[in-house]
Amino acid sequence: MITFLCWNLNRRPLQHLIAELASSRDVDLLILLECAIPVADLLGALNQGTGPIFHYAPNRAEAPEESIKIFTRFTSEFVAYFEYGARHTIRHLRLPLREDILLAALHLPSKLHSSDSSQVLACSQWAAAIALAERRAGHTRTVVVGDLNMNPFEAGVVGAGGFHATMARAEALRGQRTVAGQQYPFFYNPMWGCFGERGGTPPGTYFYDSSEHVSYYWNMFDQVLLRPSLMHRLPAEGVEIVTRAGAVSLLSPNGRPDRSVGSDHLPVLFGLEL
Amino acid sequence: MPELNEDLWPSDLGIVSIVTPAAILRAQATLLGEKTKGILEGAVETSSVGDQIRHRFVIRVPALGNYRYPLFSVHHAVDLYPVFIDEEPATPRPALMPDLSSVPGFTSLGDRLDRASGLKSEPALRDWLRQTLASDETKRIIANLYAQASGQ
Repeated sequence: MITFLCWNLNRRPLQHLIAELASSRDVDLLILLECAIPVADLLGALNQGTGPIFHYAPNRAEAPEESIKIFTRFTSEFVAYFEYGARHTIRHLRLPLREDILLAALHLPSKLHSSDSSQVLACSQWAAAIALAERRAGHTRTVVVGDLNMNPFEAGVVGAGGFHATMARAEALRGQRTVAGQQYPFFYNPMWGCFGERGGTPPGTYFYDSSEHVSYYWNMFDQVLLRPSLMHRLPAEGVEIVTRAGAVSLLSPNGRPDRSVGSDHLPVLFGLEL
Repeated sequence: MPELNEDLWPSDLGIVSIVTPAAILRAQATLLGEKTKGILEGAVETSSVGDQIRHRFVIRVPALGNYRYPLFSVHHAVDLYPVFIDEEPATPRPALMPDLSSVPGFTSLGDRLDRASGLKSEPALRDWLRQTLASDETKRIIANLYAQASGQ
């Protein structure tokens, strides 16, 4: 099983919590968003132990603050970039004796700087970029992970022209859906299973208390989407919203992300049986 | 009458445990990553030219956009040994010393000896590698790359 952890760090120097999570949760591949930690500092924290070391797999388009940084226990040639930009990187994860997959890591624009309509239109572009990468790779074994800055029920995520990510495995297994004569491939969105207060886990990955009439408080901006061809690789426990890094709680006493300890986002952890 | 599928191979094919030059170099490449906590990484790039197999030992710096610094290169034939040295870590020369390396046919005495006879065995390759990795030139290159990658 390959274990992935994705975390929007909100530009905080959280290298010691990341190292603790990487070690205690046996993470193989780290996807860090809004990561302003110098690579050397992060590698120093990650590689303090005696196990296999972490490698930095650079995203060539990295910007100083809005960058996506990927660290893996494999060397970077196994996570070669396929396509990249300031807010996304698509990697070809090719591990020996395992089925190769495409990993698309995204950090989509915040609602603070982008209207709902703009977000929907942007999703169409990201979906097209992923479809193009799939055509180049010759398969659709794709996992999308990152901070979409949208909830799973929003049009950009659900819409056929966007990510077309459904909550239902059975529907996703249809592979695609025809809308107005055009076929759109599905993603399966396991994050729906993380909504609500079940088993003491937080209802989302990001808390925002708005003064508007409609406030969800908890949002599921950090998501994992799987093409139907990868759905069976996700273990039954699905995706976990992580609330502790070893002995350190990432939540404040009121149950919200503790920005003084961690980030304003909670990490998401998942595994794939490749 | 001889059997059609008679096995004509000898019972002993002479297959022994030989450590290839590539394996020796890759082990050192891996160790560089461990010793620098992933800030520098070693890699061995192997190619073939005619019947010769060439290995280039490269230092990669992921934090500098995967910048690559070729440290040295060697080649050998299918026999594995001897291993011939093609390029060694560059030595900085005093400013007033002319750069003879650009003169056609110029090689240092050490180069001429090694290049002519090659490293004839696995222990000889290991000895040369030990000296090369511990050389002032290699240390200087590693220190410089490490400092740049660490933002020092």
